[in-house]
Amino acid sequence: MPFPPSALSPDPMTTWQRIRRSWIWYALLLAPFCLFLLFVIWPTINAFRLSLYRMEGRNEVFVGLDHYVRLLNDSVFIDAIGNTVLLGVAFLVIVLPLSLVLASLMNGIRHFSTPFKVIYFLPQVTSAVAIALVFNYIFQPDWGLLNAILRNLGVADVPLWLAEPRHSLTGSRAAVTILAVWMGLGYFVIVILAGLQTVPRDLYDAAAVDGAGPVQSWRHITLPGLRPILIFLIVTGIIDAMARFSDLWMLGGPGGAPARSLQSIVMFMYQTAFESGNLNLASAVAVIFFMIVLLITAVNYGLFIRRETTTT
Amino acid sequence: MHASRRAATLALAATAVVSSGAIAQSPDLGPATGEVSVLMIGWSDQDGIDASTGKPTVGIGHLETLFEAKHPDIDLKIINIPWGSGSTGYGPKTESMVQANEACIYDMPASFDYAKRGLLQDLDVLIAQDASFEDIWEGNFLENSKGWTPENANATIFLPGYSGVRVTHWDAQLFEDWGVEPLSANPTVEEITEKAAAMTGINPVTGEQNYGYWYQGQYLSWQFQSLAHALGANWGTVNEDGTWTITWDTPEYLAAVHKLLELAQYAPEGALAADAMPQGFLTDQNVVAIIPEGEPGYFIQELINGTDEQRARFRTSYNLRGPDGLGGLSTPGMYTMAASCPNKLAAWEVLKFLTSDPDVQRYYFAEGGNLPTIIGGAELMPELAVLPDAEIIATEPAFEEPRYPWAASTPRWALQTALQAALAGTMTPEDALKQAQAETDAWLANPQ
Repeated sequence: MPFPPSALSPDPMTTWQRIRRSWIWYALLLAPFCLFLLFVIWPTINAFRLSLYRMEGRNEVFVGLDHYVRLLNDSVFIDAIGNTVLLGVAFLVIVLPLSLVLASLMNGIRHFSTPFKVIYFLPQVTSAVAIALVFNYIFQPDWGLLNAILRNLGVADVPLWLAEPRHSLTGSRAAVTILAVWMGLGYFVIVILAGLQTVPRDLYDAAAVDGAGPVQSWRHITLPGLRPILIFLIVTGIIDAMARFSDLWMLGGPGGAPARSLQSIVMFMYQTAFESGNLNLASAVAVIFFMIVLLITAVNYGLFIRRETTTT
Repeated sequence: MHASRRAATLALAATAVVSSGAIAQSPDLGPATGEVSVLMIGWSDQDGIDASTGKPTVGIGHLETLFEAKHPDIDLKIINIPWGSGSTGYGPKTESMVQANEACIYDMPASFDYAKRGLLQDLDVLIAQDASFEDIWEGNFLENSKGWTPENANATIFLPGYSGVRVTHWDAQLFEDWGVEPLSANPTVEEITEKAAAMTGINPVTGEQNYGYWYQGQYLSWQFQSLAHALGANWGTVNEDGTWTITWDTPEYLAAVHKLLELAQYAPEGALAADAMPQGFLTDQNVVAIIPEGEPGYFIQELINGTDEQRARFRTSYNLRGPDGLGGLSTPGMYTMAASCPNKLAAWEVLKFLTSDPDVQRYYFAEGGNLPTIIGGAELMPELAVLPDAEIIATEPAFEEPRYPWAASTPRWALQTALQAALAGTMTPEDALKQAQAETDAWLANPQ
């Protein structure tokens, strides 16, 4: 049956009338929008502007892209980027499979799953600084908890952890990766668990009828069902890993000790601004950091998110 | 006041007048009244009880009360922040307040950098107009308060409110256990090396592993400077135009790195990760015999409030000294005035009060373990007399090197990182110094 003409014709209300009808919603949005402008948009724009100047006393002098040229020729900055990427990749490579396994196991628990969820999630709601302080005690080479346990188990040559700047499975980078995994695991598990619970049970029942075993069901039903969740975790996980600061600062001090093995881009930016007093150069670091995150997000969008949004 | 000191003060004031052109330009210093805000760092906000000693503590508001009783026309507002760390550290807060002109007076560890940026008032201008001003600070404190500003290459940029004190600590109990002669009051590098080596190993009395030496890997620069200066190294100079010449890659510094590597053999393996004194310091659990250039100050109140046994065990010697008789990091509380301060004359009264009033100096000692900087300051801390090495502690600041202007800048981190790499064995001492020099030179060529 054809629709009556009135149902197919455009809404007779004008845009202005629609705004007037829902003005209260715009009013409610106004205050947070102003705060967003003041504390996010304006500082971001100002960082771009500052990065093009240098200070001579209290006067700003336009220097164009000089700070960017300087940074791209600065081995300390390049190393900080490499270190950030390395720590981020190590974190995601460990935390994603681990949280997937744990969430799958928890999903199979019929009773008392809530205490597990709470325990795994607790580090997520604890201060990163407090966690870093505790891990500082755990990873101290001479009197830390971990090496004390290893010595009691008869290990004579205990690892140096935070005193070892080399790329090693028992060095400073390994220690902060363990910390990051411990801290982030609960969040990943909870999000994946939520995703698992959206996969229709019917599919598993049908697969069982067709003779699929648990591994085949997991491979062909669970994983495809989790795809949007995993993409979300990868994208946000990369951004979080790039912005890592507090725990590295607490364990490595202002210089990312030992020997800058724990220095990240954000630590470099902080050190440039507040340890060396060069806000303009630090702003250029912030802009490059912004561009890197933007690029990663764009690539992720192109590779994963667009496909998800167009297929759903 | 000695005639020579008075003459020196007059000369200082005259130099200040000439160099700053104060008379010719008649700078507007604003009124001598009104509100003066001060940023202070690390004091108690309120009166309370010390968690470790159980003794009453006095909040920073005490200084406001003291000041306003003497200067009723000036309203002193103290903004007290913790030292903090990372994004909540004092550095970003200081920067924010300076940018926003939020205070007139700052306790400012990075004062040399702010002075270079033209953000601090040249205090010589105020000294010149103050007929009552006298150099009442101990030793070279006032002379060492000079730094470079865009208008004056040799400006007084801060007044020294208090002094931290970094000394060489040693554990008399461990020396006795090992049968080693006590450390002398003025130890040399050779003496420390020899005794550290003798006390590294299994303690013959307790059976515990002992270490002869200690270094803080995360904050290595100061101990290394002290060691290097004792071996004849000098970091460089401040040039007439305010630039710095810094020389890390020299034979003297190379010898110092080799010596540090030798001494590090007598320290715990994990010292490279350390950001504080060794675990167990000031307790019966201590296993480190010698700690050169220790943390500033805090041990003083711990020992004063401790037991006789504790005071007899944890002893103090002077820092290592160079051929010029000086050595170790100068750690004065640097009180500066912002160039943007609208009422500089009022702020000047506050600045003098915070850096020279005996009651304030007493407060700094009682509440923070910081030493007085004024002449006769020893009388303000009678409690110190209970320590067997009170005189060494009280007089150490007089032998410290002038404040390193790069102490809060890139050269410090360049050197420190290179030293860590050398200690970890990822670089040779030669390459480490070359890297530190290259990074420092690159920064010096374009510090802003």
